[in-house]
Amino acid sequence: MRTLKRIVSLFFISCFLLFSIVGCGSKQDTESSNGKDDSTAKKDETIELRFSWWGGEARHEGTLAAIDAYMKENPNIKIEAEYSGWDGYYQKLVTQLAGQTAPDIIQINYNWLYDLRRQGKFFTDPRDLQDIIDISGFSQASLDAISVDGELQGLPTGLNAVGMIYNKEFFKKNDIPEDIDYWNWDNLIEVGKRVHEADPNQYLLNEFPNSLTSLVDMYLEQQDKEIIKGDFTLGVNVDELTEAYEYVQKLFDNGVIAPFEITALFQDKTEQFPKWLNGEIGMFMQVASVVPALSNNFEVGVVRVPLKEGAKSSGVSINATNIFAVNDNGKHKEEAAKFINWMLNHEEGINVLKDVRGVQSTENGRKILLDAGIVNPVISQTIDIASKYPGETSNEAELNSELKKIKYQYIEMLGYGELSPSEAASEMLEVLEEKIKELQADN
Amino acid sequence: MKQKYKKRRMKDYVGLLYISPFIIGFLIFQLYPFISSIIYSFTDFTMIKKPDFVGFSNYINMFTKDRDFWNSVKVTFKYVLMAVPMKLIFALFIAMVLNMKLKSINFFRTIYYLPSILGGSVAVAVMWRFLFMYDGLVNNFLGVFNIPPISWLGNPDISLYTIGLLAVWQFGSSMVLFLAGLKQIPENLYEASAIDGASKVKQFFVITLPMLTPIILFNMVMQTISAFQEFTGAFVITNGGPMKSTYLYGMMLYDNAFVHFKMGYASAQSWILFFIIVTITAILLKSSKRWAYYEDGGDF
Repeated sequence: MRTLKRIVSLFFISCFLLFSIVGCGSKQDTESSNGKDDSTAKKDETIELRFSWWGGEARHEGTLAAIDAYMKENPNIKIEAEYSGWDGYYQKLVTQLAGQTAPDIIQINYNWLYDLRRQGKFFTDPRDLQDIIDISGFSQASLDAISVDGELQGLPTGLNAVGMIYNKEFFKKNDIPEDIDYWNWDNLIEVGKRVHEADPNQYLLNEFPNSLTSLVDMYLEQQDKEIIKGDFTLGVNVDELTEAYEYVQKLFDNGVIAPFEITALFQDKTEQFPKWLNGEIGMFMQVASVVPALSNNFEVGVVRVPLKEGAKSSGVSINATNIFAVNDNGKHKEEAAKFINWMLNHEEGINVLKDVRGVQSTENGRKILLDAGIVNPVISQTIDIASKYPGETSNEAELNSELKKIKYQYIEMLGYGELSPSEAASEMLEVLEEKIKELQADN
Repeated sequence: MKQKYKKRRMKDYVGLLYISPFIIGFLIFQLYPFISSIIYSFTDFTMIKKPDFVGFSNYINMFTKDRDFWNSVKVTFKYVLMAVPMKLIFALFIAMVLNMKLKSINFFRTIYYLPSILGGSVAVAVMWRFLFMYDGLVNNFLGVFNIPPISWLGNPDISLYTIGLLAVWQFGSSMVLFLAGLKQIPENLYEASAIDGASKVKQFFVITLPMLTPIILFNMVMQTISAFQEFTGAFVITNGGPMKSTYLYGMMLYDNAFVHFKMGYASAQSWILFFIIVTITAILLKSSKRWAYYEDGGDF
């Protein structure tokens, strides 16, 4: 018994010692490699890169194929893929950035840029790596849209815009014209009412609370107004906002839009949304990049968003689908940049990635995909429509997470019938003003 | 003498070494965050920027300015007051059923414990969403009896109860404790009372329940503590909605920390939660002197 005890304790002690030695050893290792750059690394040395992104099945497959192809071409590079769905990706990334354990190549979303940049500099400006990444193919506007105070945060992986994505069968069944320029705010209600009256289970329109918030922004922008202006001041008065909310109320009252009670649970999970899958929803405002996920059961098409006659701006902006950024704390920034350049600028990279991140953002990239015939026609059509009817890009105030939360909250209360349009409008403007003051005091 | 002393010292070290994985884990993952969160609660820490001390302003803002705070406190209390009693009653009920002398009773005990093993996982929460969604299985089932569909998760007045059901469903650990408690009640008490003509119902209230009070107390304390910290269900199923009706304290904490980067503020909120839990637990323990019965006159 005693010997057994001794053997066991000896085992634990040796494990412990081994553990601590290994621990020290690896620490030394990182210290020494921190000093040198990849330029001094030997050719035959394997460089490990980590690459994280979120997406659906199609994007995972395409990106993994791209990684394989790149590794075959560059045997000294080993790329570790860290991919997931949308849920929780941002939270994980923030934690990694804080702990300095973020991957070398990171897919980020345009609406995080300001929030993140206000916390610190995490991403290398691609212009600092210009001899590796060719940025000449990107339009100035698309780069400006993802710059914070003139500092470019990464490169757009593709172009994305919202459009009204519709179920073709549903439109045929209900005699709705598939004309791209058909919709305005009045006939939206007329047709929606008719469709719902014909069959109470079906709704012309579905908007989740978050997309309905954008729809209100769009409605106001077509009247040359915005709730919060770029300089963090309010851009609407109570009457103007009440009018917009009254319109939303009409959408609900007439059965144009499916009630939140049924739909809100599937926000951000559109591909699981039963009412859409069953063909009981006519259309909804979605970004082009999700089209492949929505068209599993039936054919979809795209039409322009409802437009007020004579509006200067449609309220639709063309954004980066997402952004490839180089981790500023990464060990192998140049190798990371090379891989990004390969994916966005090289013919082979573009051909492997296809349209898993929307339409390519460079002219050259679009041409390659078009020639090969692999762009999803609905996606490219959405971008075409958005370029024909442009709107303004989102400003910092619109992307602020706390202000966004407030707008969201009031749309919810309006949708659930908790507040009337005028109550919601006046209360929200008050709360927004309060929050803006608080934000400015913090800075 | 010295030799012996040395030997004992050696033995102590070996003991410590055995439990070192736990101690190291405790120090790094529990004690350190615990202490550092006190410090952070007085700063404007954002996880990334260097924290500056802001005195008590996090605490003051929480009580005076934050609209979400009071809502979440209210929702959380409502949740605890609903989920804990429901869970205990259900667990006791099942324990009494499983205490019967039936053939293959052990098989049933295992089966009924299963939900608790699956319980808190994200996968089950996702399943819950599909069961209780508008076109989900539960409503389909009700439809068979011509009951109109209920918006279990979409209706702000009902959603919190639906989330609470997920907690009730994980009654297993309380049930096992109740079962053990039931087994310890001496058979002769029942026999004696039966001779005196007590009905089954009467027996339950005058024998079973009083004899179980220590276990009820233990279960109540444990379940209350965990209910105050509930997060997974609300996060995965409803994400706090609709209209913040399921915006539990844990969710608010998470949002402040990981969505709005207000780590210092979130630390302060977690300390308030800690104090709420400590106070409620203390009240429960204190009150138990009046209602928990210990055969040996037990003392706290």
